[in-house]
Order: sequence, then structure tokens, then C-alpha cells
Amino acid sequence: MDVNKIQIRKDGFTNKELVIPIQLTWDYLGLDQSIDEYEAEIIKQVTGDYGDFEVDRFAHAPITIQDPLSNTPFEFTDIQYEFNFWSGGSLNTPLSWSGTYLYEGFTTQEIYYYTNNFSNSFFKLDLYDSVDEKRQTNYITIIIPTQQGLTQDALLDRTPVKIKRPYFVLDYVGDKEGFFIYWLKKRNFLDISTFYMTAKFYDARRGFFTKMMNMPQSSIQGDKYVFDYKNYFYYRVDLDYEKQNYQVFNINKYQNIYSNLNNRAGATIPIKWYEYVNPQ
Amino acid sequence: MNKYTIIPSSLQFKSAPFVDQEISLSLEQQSQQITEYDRSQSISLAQIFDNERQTCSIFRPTFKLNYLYANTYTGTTEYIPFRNTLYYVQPEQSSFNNVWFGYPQYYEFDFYRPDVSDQHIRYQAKSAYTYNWTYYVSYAHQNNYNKKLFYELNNTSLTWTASEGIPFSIFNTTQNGNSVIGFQCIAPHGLNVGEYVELSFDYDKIKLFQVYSLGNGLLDSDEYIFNIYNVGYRGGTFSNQKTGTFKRVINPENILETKSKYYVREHKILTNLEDCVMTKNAFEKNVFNEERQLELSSITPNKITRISQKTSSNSYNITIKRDLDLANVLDNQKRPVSELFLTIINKGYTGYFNYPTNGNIALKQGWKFNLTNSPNSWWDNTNPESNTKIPTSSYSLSNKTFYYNQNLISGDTIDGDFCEWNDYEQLERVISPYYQKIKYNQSVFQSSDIPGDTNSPGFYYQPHTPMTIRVFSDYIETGDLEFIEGIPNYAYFSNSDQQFRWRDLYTYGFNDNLGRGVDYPFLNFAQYPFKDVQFRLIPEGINYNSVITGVDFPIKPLIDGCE
Repeated sequence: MDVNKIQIRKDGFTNKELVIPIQLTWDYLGLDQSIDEYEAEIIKQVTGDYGDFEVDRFAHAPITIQDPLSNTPFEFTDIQYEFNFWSGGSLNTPLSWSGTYLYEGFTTQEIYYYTNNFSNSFFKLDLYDSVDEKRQTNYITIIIPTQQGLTQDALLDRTPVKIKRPYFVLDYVGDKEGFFIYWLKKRNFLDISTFYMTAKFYDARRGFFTKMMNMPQSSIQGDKYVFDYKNYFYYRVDLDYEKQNYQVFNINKYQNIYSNLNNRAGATIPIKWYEYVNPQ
Repeated sequence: MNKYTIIPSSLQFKSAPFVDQEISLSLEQQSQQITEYDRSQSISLAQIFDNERQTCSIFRPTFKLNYLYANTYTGTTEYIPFRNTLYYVQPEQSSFNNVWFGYPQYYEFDFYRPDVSDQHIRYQAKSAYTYNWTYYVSYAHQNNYNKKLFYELNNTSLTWTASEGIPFSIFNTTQNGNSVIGFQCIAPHGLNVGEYVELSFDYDKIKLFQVYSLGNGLLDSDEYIFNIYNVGYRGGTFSNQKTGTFKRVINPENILETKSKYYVREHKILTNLEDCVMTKNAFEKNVFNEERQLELSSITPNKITRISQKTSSNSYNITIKRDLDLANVLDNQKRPVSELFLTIINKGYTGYFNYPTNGNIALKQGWKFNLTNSPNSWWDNTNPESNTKIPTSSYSLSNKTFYYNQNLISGDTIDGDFCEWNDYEQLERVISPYYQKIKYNQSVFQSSDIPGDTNSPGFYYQPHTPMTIRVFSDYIETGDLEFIEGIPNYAYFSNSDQQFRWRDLYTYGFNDNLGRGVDYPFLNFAQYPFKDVQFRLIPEGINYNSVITGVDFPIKPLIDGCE
């Protein structure tokens, strides 16, 4: 090759240096393996990665407090709900709401004999990811049937009887429907640990839902229909994936009955719901 | 090394001429062509599913539990809450002498304990399924060759170490006119005709004898009796009633490798109590009746009418909340785990059972060969060898102390079945299953008529129920030294054959021609094995070992030869 005919001529008596640049291009080891990995990655993208949709049972987190019966510390596991219906009276007094199905219009006979009107009614607790009604998604629904719950005294044709009332003490056994939240075991598909709970009552007698608030409208100053719905329609539900349990918290800044329990609701002090009355 | 000096030609030597100089440089290039090509891959979802399934080591086991028990022992108690809730026997008589006999109600035995408001304990709903029993998942993780074992039958007793093999008692007899020496074993011997046994004693320095036949001619005796041909052995070596132990040998030319090993399996607990969730199986009941009776107020100690219940027939479901990753978990033979066990342990929180006598331990343990017609000395409270490793806790009420067994935690170990392993066959056999025994605390509930009885009747149960999660092949693979690749790390190297020997692990979803294999659901990147479990609580007096001499009356087999 002509280009390789290089002549170096003498130029005085000084040393000369010749710099010869040699370019090296490396071929990376394991290139094929990389391609294999890339291929596996592409296949995974095409076929889709596996998702773990297994659900787990989240129980109500226990709370240890002084047991009034034995006067010793005791671990309570139950969660309590108290639903109050509007009697139709004044919105200015809390006495217009009470925890009895009679206020909703059911008769003692219907409740005592579990007629279809009564037994087909239920409470519906919806758990959303946000309190913003425009963006929220309902992920979990809990149904509490009216066949559960504590009882109250009543008269049935002048005979003293016990009839159900909308006060629920839910636990691992006994009245347990609605006690557990069944939700995804793993967080890789949906990573939500905080939900916001609303409540509705389905009245099978009349065939419609009644919305519930966390405080009665009597507690609202001024116009009973003008309030911050984010405050009054929700409780917060925190899931603990590690311990597989949940806690419910009050988020209404005007509600102070839970303040001794760091706003924890449902643990010894029931989660209170009051029928919301629409403008006439 | 790159320092080159170019010297002018005139200076190379004296009177050197001036000439042009040339240096020839050759530039070489090595190049590699970058290959451009397309890869095409056929994607088979079934193949991808299977690949994921075979590599998955996460298990979410589920057990369905049918509970069978007999509430058989009556007793009496001075403790008022217990006395007022018994299932009474002869209450009319008791109302006169005020000594109330009866059975504890079903909820002292059942897995689910309801809130009975008996004023005994402050009921916690969370513990409803763990007051009486606790349950865990375990696996066999190592062998105990030095476990002391004991056997007693018909006033003959023997103490031996597990590694010594299976005990027997000798009887001399004839078969078809031939004189044979019979060996009546305490458990199924696992021998075939033509194989050999190595005895614990020798005849003229010979310990190895060939099995001539099995059984004594009676039904079901083949499993427990083997015979060697009596060629005219003299002396007292093979005299009647002589006891000893034997080990199975497949090949007398290769005793070292073909002789079986004997040991007690030790189980390691994989889960904590709260990891297992038990629920009732809806309304499912087993076929047995639930015995109830009305206790009229006039014949009860507290003058209250109530309905008492002696037995229940509930069915339960156990799921495991925590994922079990068995990727690097090895079994007692250092192979990948092929069996998980549902381990059920009595807790007895209400205190009817479990009076501790030896080092705060009340729960007794033994093996199937320890179950005899009446309680033998193995089960005596004073025998520390039959103690489990589970200590008791206690609480006191009304000057009575109530004991219960403590919970196990993940990592704890407990004993298991008495087993045989043969290196050459690469096969494990359960010789005698492991049992535990609970007894009434006689200071709380007197079920025994003997004052200070330390060996009172009780209930037996098998704590470990196996669940197969992988299956080893029914054939043995061999591999030469030169071809190590592909040989699993649990393979056994036979010096005599100069080969590796092992059994393959079948893939999930594969069943061989014998129907062996597992095909559990695989989803959510987890295996979902399921096991239907019959859990039995057995009262005293069922003599399992009566069968070892065979049955000498005609009985209808449950499964005949055609099946």
C-alpha cells in the first residue's frame, strides 16, 4: 500500500518522535446474553407481567384499654357502628336523630318478624380512595345486614319484645359480617392504604338509599344544607398491610368525642352515622 | 518501550555517509463485522404459564379439616363453673348426693369455642379458634437418630434407640412343614421376601439373614411378621420371646450402602399462630350426630334449665395468611421440600387438661406402637422420656390452678414420625406415626377413680398431617462421574457403583402412570395446594397393635382384591 510508504528525513541532530494513533474498537463480552435478556423483557411486555390479585382478610385493629368489668387492661377487637335515623323533627336539635329503625318508618312488627321489608334492607359502607367526589373511585363496599345488631325493648301488641336496632358490635365471631375488609394482599397492583368511608342505608320498604353523615345536621351552624361535605360525609380507614388490620379515624374537625383515642373511631366508641336530610 | 530514537546515518559510525533512511510501519487492522439480524420468537402463553409455574416456589396452602372425636370419659368437679356446665349422667342420683358426674361439653374439644358465658374466662372473640387447639405449618427438617424409644406389649417391654432399627419378638414355628423363625415386629417391617435383615445379635458371628417368608398365615400379619428359614440353629439365639432389633439390607454384597437407617423425624415450624386462619366450613357437618340433652332445672346443681351438647361434627377450613417461600428450604434428607405438614397441637386454655409433672410439661408424646389397650408405663406422668418439648402456662381461679400448653413460634422444632431411609433406594418410609396424648387435670376434673393416678386415660391424636407439594419419581436416576451436569445436588454417590443415584422431582402438573404427581392451581404467581384432613381425637382403649399377630376371624375387607 502506498499510504504505508512513510519516509522520515533527517533534520539536524535532534531526536524525532513518531506518534502512531491506533484505534481500538471493543466488542463487549456477553452481548448475546444481553440480547437474550432484552428479548425476555420484550416478551414480558408483550405478554404482560403477572399480577398478584390475592385478597387478604384485614381485621379491625385491637385496642387495649382498662376493662370496666374486671378493671384490668383488656384487648378489645370489636368495631362498633351506630346508625341514627331522622324522626322528621327539627333539624336544630340532635334529639331528632335516634338509633332505632322505628324512626325510619319500620313498624315493631316488621322488625320483630323480619319481614322482607326489613330483612332486605341493609347498610352500605363504601370505601373510596379520595374525598374528592369528582375524582374518587369506590374500591370496597361493605354490607351490614339488618339481621345483625343489638336489640332494644319494644311492645308488640302489648307484649314486651326485643327488636333489632341499628347498633352493631362486629367481631371475629358472632356478628361478623362487615367486620373484615377483604383487600389485595400485595401492593404491586394497587397501592392504597388509606380509604375514605361513606355510609348509606338501603330502605327496602321504600326502595331507595339514604345517605349518612358523621354528625347530625343540628351541629351545623346556620344553614343546615351548606357545609363542607368532605368534613361531614367521611371517616378515614387506614390499612396496615404488615399487621393485616385496619383502623377507622374521625376526620371531622368539629367532632370531639374521639379525641381521647387520637380520633380513632369504632374502638369502644362507635362510629356514628346520622341520616342526612335533603332540602325539601 | 515506546521510546524509539532515530539516529542519523552519518552518526552511526565514523565517516558514515549521509543517506536517507526509511522505517517501514505496517498498520494492521482486525475488524469484526457487526451482524445485523432479526430475532423472531413464537410466544406460547401456555409455555410461559408453565415456565412461571415450574419456577415458582411460593405456596399458599389450604386445608379442609374434618374433626372426629369421641367424648368418652365422665368425671366430676368441685369447680362451680365447670360443674354447672357438664353434660350430666344420672343427674337424678346426683341431685341427692350432690356429686355431679358428666362429660365436659363439646366446646372443650372442638376447634371453635363459642362464648358460653360460664364465668370461667373473659372470652375474646379473636381467640375463639385458638382456645382449644393451635395449628401451624411445618416440614421435616432433620433426623434424630438418638431418640430413645420404648415398647410394651403383653408384659414384654423393650427400650431402644431409634438408629438401632425396628424391635421384634421371636417365635419359632413351622410353615408348610418347614421350620421357620418368626419375628413379630412392633410396626410394619417394610421387608420383601429375599431381602436381608441385620439383627442386633449374632449367631456364630453371623448377623445377616435372608427373609424366607412373611406373615403367619393370618390376615394382615404380613406387614408385621417376617420369617427366616431355620436351618437348624442351636442354642438360645433364636429362643421364643427373645427380643431384639433389626435393620433392613437390600444387598448383602453391599451392606454399607443398602442398609436402611432409622430415625425420628424432627419438624420445624414455619408459621406463627396468627399466620393461620381457621373458619367454619359454612354449614358443613360430618356424618356423625351431635348429641344433645335437656338439663332440667330440677336436676341441675344451679337450678337452671339448659341444653347441653356432648359432641359436635363441625368442618373447618384453614388458610395461611403468609406466603411460604420454599426456594431454599431443604427437608430432612437435604432434598427440596416435597411435603408440608399441618401441625395441630392441643392448647386447652380452659384448663380441663394438661397437668404438668415433669419440668412444667404436661403434653405427652409417643408413636403408634405405644398405643395399647390400656395406658402402659410409657405414658405415665413420671416418665420424662415421653414428654414433649412444649411447656405449660397457668392461671388461678377459686383456689384452682388451670394449665394450658404454650403456643409454638416459627423456628421451633418438635418430634415427628419414626422413619426408615435407604440411601441406595433413595426412599423414606414412615414406620410408625407420631402421636400426642392429653389427659384430664385430675385436680380440676376427676375422671379417674384411682387417687393420685399418674397414668390416667386420655386422648391421642396425630399432630402432623402431610400435604404433598412435590413428588419424587418412582424410578431411580443414575449418573456417571463424567457427566456431573444435570445431577441434582441432593444425589447420593454410590462408591460401589461409582455413580450418583437420585430420584427426579416431577414437574407441577405431571402425573406418572401410577397416578403420582401434583396438579395444584397456579395463579397470582403462587401454588395453591389443598389437602382434605381427617383429624381424629382417639380415646384410650383402641388397641392398634392387636393386628400385629394377624386377624384370625373372617372379616370383610374395606377394599377387596378386585379394587
